[in-house]
Amino acid sequence: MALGEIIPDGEILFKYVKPEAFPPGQTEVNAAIFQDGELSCDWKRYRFNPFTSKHISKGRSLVIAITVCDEIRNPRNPRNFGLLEPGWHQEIIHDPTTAENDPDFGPNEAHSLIKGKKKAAIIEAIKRNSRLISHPNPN
Amino acid sequence: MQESIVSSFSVFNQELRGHVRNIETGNNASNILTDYASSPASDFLNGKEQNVRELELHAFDNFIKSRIQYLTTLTYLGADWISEKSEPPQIQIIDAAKSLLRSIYNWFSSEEGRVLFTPDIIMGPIPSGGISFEIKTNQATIYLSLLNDGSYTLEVSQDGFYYEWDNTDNNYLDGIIKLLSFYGIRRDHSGWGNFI
Repeated sequence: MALGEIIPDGEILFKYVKPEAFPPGQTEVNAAIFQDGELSCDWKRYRFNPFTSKHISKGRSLVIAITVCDEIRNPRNPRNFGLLEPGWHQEIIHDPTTAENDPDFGPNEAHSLIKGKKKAAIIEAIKRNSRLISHPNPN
Repeated sequence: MQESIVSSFSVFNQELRGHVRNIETGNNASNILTDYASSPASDFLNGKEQNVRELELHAFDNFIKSRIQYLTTLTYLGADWISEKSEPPQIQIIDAAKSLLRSIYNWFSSEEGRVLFTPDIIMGPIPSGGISFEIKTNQATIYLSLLNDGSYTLEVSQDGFYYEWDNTDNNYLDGIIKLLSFYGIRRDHSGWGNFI
């Protein structure tokens, strides 16, 4: 486990949401969920089963799985001939927390971040590489 | 009137499902086109475009009503609804979002809006506080965020390009309607494949 380790492409990150945040029958993730400059997630490498997270017991029982990829890490700007846009780069890193720096939630070895300014193009890239792995309204 | 439209749609659905089953089993596959040409589903699509419009508007009305009900439930969402620091939408923003949905429905049922197909709408709360909408027309996606501080952002995405709407006039509804008018799919320029 290394603090600040860059999470490679192909790895899975989990986010947790209260089912009540989703309208009935909506299976598509609302892109605005991903707009935080420091998007907090759990890395599957350290939490293989997302349903063991404390978030689940706190009612955030809907899980969104994000697949790390270059499209998210290095978004391209179509207005700039599809070239890389350095200001849009996302740092995707392992950021384990301890009981000291998160007294409410306790230690979380899996904690990770997608850091960087979230322009609409980046939010959409995250959304394209995300899927719900449980649904708030299964019936 | 609405009951008959729904009933027609049920007939259409049943017939379509019947044909799919036939294709899967191989039974009567050669008769599918003949069957279809003389079916109520064919009448429904060929001669009663007005009914299709009414049906779609009826479905859109139900959709808008369900989303307005959902918005009411957001009053009880509470803080930290996502796995990071997060705020619930304020009551005023929830009311503004309801009003926006009603206005969108009213516009699509007006003479001006009825010539367009109704859009898909994805929505939900914003972690920093507010409600966001993604309004999809097949040609473009319109992103509207109503923020707890009373401000808003309006953007359009088309073929990977993003455009920001000038939000200084504080009239996002006007912006939404103009964008829907511009990016909406017109019925008279579309085959029935677009409807399906």
